[in-house]
Amino acid sequence: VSQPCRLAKGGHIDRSRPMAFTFDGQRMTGFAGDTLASALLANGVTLVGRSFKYHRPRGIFCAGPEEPNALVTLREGSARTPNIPATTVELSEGLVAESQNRWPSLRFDLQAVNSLFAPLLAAGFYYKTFMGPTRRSWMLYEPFIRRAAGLGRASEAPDPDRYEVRHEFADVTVVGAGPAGLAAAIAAAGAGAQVILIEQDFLAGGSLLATADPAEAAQRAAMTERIRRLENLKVLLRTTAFGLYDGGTLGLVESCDHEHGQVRQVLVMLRARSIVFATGAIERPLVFPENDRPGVMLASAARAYLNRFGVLCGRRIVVATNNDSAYRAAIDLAEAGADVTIVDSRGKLAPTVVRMADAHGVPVRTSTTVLKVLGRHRVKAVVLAASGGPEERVAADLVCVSGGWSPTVHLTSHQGIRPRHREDIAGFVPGALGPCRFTAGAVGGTYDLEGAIAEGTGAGKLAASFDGGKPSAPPVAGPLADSLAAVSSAAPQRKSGKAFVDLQNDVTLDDVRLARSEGYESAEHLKRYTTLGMGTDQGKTSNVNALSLMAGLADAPVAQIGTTTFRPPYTPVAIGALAGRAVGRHFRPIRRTPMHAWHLENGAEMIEAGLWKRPWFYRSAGATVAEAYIAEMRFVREAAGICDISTLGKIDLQGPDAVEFLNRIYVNAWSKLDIGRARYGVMLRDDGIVLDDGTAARLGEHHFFMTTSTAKAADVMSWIEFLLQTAWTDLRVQATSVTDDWAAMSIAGPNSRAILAAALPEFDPSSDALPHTGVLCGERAGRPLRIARLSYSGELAYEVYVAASAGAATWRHILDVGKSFGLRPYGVEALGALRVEKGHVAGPEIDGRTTLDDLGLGRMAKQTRPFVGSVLRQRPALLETQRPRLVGLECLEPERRLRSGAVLFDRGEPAAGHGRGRITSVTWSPTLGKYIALGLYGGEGDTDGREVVAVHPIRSESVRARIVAPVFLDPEGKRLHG
Amino acid sequence: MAENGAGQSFVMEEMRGWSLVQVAGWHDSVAAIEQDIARVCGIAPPAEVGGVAVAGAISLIRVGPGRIWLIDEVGEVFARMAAAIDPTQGCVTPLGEGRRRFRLSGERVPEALKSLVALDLAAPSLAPGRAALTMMHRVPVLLHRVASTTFDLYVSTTFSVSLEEWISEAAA
Repeated sequence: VSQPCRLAKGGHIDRSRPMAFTFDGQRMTGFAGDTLASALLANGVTLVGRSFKYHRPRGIFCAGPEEPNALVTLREGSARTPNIPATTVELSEGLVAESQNRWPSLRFDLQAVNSLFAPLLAAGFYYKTFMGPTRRSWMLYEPFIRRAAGLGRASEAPDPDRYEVRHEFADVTVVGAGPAGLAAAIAAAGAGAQVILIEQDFLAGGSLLATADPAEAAQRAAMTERIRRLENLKVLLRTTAFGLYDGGTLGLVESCDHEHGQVRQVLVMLRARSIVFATGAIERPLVFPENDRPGVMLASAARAYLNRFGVLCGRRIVVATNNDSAYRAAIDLAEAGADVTIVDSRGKLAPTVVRMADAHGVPVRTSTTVLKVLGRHRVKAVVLAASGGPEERVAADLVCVSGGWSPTVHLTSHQGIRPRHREDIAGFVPGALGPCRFTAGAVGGTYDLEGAIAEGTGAGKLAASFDGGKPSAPPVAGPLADSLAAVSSAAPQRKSGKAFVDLQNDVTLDDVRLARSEGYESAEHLKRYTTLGMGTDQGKTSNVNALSLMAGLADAPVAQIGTTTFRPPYTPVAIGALAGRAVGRHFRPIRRTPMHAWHLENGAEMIEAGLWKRPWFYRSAGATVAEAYIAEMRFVREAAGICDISTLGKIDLQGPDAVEFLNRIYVNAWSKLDIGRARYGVMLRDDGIVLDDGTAARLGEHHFFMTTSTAKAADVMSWIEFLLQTAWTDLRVQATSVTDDWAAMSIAGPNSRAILAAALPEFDPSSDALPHTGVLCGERAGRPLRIARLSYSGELAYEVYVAASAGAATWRHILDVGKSFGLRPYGVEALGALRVEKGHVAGPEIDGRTTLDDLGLGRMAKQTRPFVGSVLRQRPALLETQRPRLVGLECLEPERRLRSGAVLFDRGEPAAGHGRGRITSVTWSPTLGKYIALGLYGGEGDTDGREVVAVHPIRSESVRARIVAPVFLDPEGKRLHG
Repeated sequence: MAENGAGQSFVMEEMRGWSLVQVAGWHDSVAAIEQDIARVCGIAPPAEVGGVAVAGAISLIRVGPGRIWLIDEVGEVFARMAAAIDPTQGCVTPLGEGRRRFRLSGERVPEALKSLVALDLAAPSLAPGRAALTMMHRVPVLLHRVASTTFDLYVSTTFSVSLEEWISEAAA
């Protein structure tokens, strides 16, 4: 029979639109408006999964995102998506779903044998059992344990789906489109605010969708129609608010119809001036032996399946409760034709409740609890007992449970606002919220419909008024709220069997007791020891029961136990949604120099340098980087090379106090720098550690042109802006980044002066006109051009800066002219190697840990005037003589090489620990015919000439080296001065 | 040009032939600089950050408390401005070489911008004739709302190819 549990009429489904789907390969049919869970139940499917640890059969327990049991894997191949609650999946034509965590089949799962070993698998078992016999034993056991326990299996193939990120703004955001949320949104929009209403479901209405009361259904219809007509109210269905962040920012994830070409999910960052939290409440289970069997279901879920989806989940139903709310479910189920018995643990009931049950012919057993559920793959019977009375077996195919309600306080707690416990409803409600934050309805403990709507209307108006001084709307106590007073969801256990507190993580009542007896007294410790409250559902149905149990065991009020910390996300969010379109080639933006296209056209192998793409080496110099960079070094040393240095940070500095600014930010002095000259400078952080090095050229009395390293350009610019805007607001200086405005190239080598003279005849590069550190400014073809005689390689060298749009043309022109002088392009590998030969420090040495003295630059520091970092660089720890200092290293083994990162030990010293220092930069030196390196070494006494061992633990290499001066080439600077 | 199913358009074109200079003063000379700008450009600079003043071919955008961008569609303003500013009072820095300017126009642009920048286009601070410095794909940009569905985007040259592709795909 097709859909044997589907009623002929009723519900918010469209019976004219059947939809075929498969579950574990079995073809079934549901209707538009179904969830996968409701469609499975309509088809009589009660067994949908296996539990995490014991592989016990599990069914559908809830009707919303709090579902702990019915996790399925959707789709196939690379689109395979595991651990999705069937209760949240909107049924679509052709949907493919699969149960998980079972083998070989759902009905016959071999790993269900775990149940036999249950005594060994109690809370913390792996901490106790798998720690020996050796320290590494855990490594052996772990893969097996992980394989035995777990959830679904994700695809390892690239995600084929597309994702988006979008920004939205609203005056008022209402989270939750139940009756309180609908009322709040209508009120806020009615007051003229721009409102966004967020609902995780694909229909608005919340609890009103699950009602059989025609008046309530009409109320929902009226409110949803009103919302449809309000132009300043936008409804985001299928959208979950998963996190609340600073500045009223809500993280939302919106599910889309990706089967028809849309993106799969959109991450929406919603910034709202006011937020109304109408997130409702989640019904709590009852804890008794075998309470996890398929066919045990929350009473509210059974009612939702009946009234919203037209599915009657059982024919002989026991409704076990400790509060009034389950009576409505019991009566609706009885009205639908089921044989219903109410089992109420309370001895005294409100007369209205008793009359309501009587009127519908539903028997009520007071002071009675469920002792145990019988049945394995499906509930067959329950064992009941009245207080002090005999046990009674009652046949049943569905057990509806209700242990009260837990307000959904996750979002309101995300910013560190601890929820507070209300004894009268035995639940936690939001703590004191900040300005422009309001609650309405069940989230604040107001469970009756009229009260929720009244609160929603009030909160919506307050939110629209943007009056941040008003507190959250006070909770309205309704008749139902009164009847929830101080209930415990866990009855004393009289029968054997596992009584589950956390269904998803297979945490039982005994586990909680064990944890308590072993000293895990705080809620946070209980969570980590037992895994209670972890997993994809994050304990939405289990946490409050567990806290109540802990309070009982400690003989303390629940408020004293407190809750664990609520952190985003409320429900799982696909990593793809967080990334949005920033994947593949858009993983991060790429930065290109003005000469980028030339490099590609001329055989450059590019390398990433931060966001930049830079020429690593040119294939014209060699087939591999090892070949090419050595060839490139040779022609720089012997003739000339040209390198794209446009990536250097460039800062235009102007103002009468520019010199004072430079004196403060650099360690060295700038007052006497002449116009038309440049100087090398080093800047420190506040704490005395070197931040960066670079140059500054004086272009005019009040005008300087600074350069920074490529890597630190953004940091230095931010640092300068920070200082000028906060600490030195009195300085008459403007610093502006002009990195993008200037293309830059370095022409280095003995022929560089002749090349410049030929290529740029407008400028005189002679030593008289342009001495070392001299700067010339002018124009070429109507575009500004600057030449600075500065060297990084140790050769006679010039840095040419030209307007960015003229960069490529100037580069080509200089290369064309320079060809006859042996000029060729070189990449950053050769650039770095040349500076190692010359002993210049760079990023590997300026690594955020080194001081001026460590780098041998201490003499640069001004003695008479303070500068940034001048005080804290004098800290005793930074002045210790044993600190590793910059040294040069020569490889002593001709057939072997030095490597960056190798740890330095003295000869004969055990190669263990951090050693005496490390190698920072390495190159083959074609000039010296050996591997050389820069490093930081902290040996005692005169270290020059000392033999050390460079140990590379990852490669298991030990190479002998000798410590030498860090300048390997031309220490007198003859080449530099041409 | 890209068009969606509803026939709404999104056009992105690069603007050429313009120039950009930044004029900045110090804490005690901003007022004097503003007067110099007004004298050269024939219009007073906007008082608020994000404000835009337009006179003929010149647009003045206030990008910071003491910083004003001058955009000249004809490209002549730099020399006149540099001559007008006393270097003890303020400074002029040409920035046009480091920026590309894209004009985004069409009914679909405001919606597409939702996935590109974290700005509330309905806010008064981004009404037509206003501008904002913001981030797009983690890159700093200036967005000038020229008209309701027309925006000028000033992008760093070195990032511009990457952002051009990023925007084109968002509009597709």
